[in-house]
Amino acid sequence: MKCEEVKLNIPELIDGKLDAVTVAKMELHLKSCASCREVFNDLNSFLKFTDSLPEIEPPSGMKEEFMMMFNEQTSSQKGRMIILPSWIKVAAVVVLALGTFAAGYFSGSGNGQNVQLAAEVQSLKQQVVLAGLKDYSGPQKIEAVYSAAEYSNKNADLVDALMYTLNSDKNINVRLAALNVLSGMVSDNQEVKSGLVQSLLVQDNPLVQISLIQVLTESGVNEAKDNIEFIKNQAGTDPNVKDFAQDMMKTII
Amino acid sequence: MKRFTILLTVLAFPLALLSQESKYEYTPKVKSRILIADLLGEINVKNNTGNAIVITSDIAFEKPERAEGLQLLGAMEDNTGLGLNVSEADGVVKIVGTTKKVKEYAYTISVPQGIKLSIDYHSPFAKNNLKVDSYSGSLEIKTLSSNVTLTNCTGPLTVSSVSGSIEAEFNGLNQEQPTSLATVSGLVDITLPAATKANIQVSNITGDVYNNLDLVNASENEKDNRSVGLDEIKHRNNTEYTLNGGGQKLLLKSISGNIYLRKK
Amino acid sequence: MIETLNDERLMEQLASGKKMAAGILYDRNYKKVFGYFVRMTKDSDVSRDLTQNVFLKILKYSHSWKPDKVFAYWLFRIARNELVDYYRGSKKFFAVEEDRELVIKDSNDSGKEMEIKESYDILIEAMGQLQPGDRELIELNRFQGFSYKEIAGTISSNENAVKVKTFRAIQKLKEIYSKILIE
Repeated sequence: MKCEEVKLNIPELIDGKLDAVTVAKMELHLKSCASCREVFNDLNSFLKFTDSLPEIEPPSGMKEEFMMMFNEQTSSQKGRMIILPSWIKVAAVVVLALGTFAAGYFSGSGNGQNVQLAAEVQSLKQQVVLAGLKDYSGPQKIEAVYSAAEYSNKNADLVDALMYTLNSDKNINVRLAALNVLSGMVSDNQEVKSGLVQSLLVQDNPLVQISLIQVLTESGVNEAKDNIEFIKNQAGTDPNVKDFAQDMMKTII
Repeated sequence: MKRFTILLTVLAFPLALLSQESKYEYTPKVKSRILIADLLGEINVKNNTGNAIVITSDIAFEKPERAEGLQLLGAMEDNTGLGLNVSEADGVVKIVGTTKKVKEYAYTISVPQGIKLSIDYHSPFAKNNLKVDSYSGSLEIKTLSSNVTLTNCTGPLTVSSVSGSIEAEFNGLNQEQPTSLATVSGLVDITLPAATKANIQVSNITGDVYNNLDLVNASENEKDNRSVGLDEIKHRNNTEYTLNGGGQKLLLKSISGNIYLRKK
Repeated sequence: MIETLNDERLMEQLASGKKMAAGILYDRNYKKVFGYFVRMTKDSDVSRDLTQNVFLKILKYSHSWKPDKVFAYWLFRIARNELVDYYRGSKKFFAVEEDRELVIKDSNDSGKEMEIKESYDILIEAMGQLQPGDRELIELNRFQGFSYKEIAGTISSNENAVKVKTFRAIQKLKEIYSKILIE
């Protein structure tokens, strides 16, 4: 190898992009050629330094700004498009996990497995909560919940997403918004109906518990009876919820 | 000169003791979100026009003598001198109380405009109330029994409580995102400028609703020809009203407390 | 799940009308694009606008997406055109401006972060003093991680010429950087 060729190869050598044969040839040459070795040492330290610099941090709010511009653009084109933000789409997995968890919890079966599942659900929830905290505020999420319901087809994905939001969002007002939308589908969607009945077991906030009992009893969902009874008799339940559950139980046969 | 300095020190010392307000400033690297948690003292929140979060407090916390040489177990480091730990990671500035005693003091936290703020006040030990004045950013508050009072606000905001009351006096209503106020047994009392455009959803179970706004019932228009003469089966437990032709959503909910809607 | 798709598949989704792909593509790539513009223009505000334009264009042109394309190059060509348009429009064609304010603004930093920040500012300063063509080669090879062959494809040149030019550009950059350091 000639010096000129070796020098040109040096950046790729540093980046580890050369094949083994060329690397061997290069090393051989560098051992014997002081001038090429100097170039190598110089570039090696300089390139290692530039590579170590972190990517420049963009100003905050860029994503939100872009999504807004994007929405405006698509809405002026053909009707109105709605983007379900990414937080809403981790849905399916977690809903499934929560459902299984709740079922096991309720039937009081084998503990070990449930503890593990509970931990998994917890860590999934935390990831999602963290992601949610970073990207979207409560009001943004409420807006998304209502617009998703208004503009997208009421398909299984949407139900999953809303159910997930109802069961795991950190913000109570967001949960209430999701429940509000779901309550409009309860009469003609079996999946929504059973999802809401399950949800009774995972809710721990009195506001959501009461609202959920109200929706289910007013819609005449008899299947909810056992779970409402369960909340009513649970030790930690807020007295307001117990009273309300007691009253509403009378309306369910 | 030396003597003068000493004189100053001697003079300044008692003055410092007299002025009880301590102050801490932090300029966030990313102006995005602030989370306040485990801070159960009285909190007053407002906006400022600068770039820094400014916290002032009347805190006079001293470690008990007996704790000399000991650290608070499991607590974060007080890096503000106000019994608080302020940290920033992933674009979120966290303000967290480092000692349980913070609940005995009052904090005023002023925040640069445009930052989203979340306050988690959801603790049975929170005995104080939250006051927010002239705050224009997005705001999320969660309390258990504490009352929340908002003055000169615009939203968007979400407030939820179990037994606390929520009072909000609006300058106008943010039209970008919804505002939601919900409590179980507290009251909800809002004051809106008469010309505000809004879709107001009122939901209550055993409380009453009092109003002097010019609300138009939005759900009445939904009846079609076929339903004439038939009773409506009530599925939705909310009634939606429009104000001045409608606008962004304003969601109000109290299970057993009264709801008050006032014209400003 | 759509999150697990690579960028090329996401473009197919976008082309077929699945608008939710846009947000994911944006999340994955906007920092890279923003960094590119900052290094080329040294202006954070301008870079923000240019970045948004690039992604709006991606949406606009998504219907012309062909499955055999590589997203990273395609993205970069759009970014590059955007930059050229910007310079044409603003008539400061590759002008080197003095005393731009620091790109990375931090207030209370630790010593280590200050050091990185300073190094970065000097590096950007040094890149500003390169010829535009050289600056671009550095950007593509060092910051975007393109191979010589990929660069040749992006800027319509041949691989060997790119290799030679990139090597010289790196050496020039190192010299300018050292010079600024000594000053």
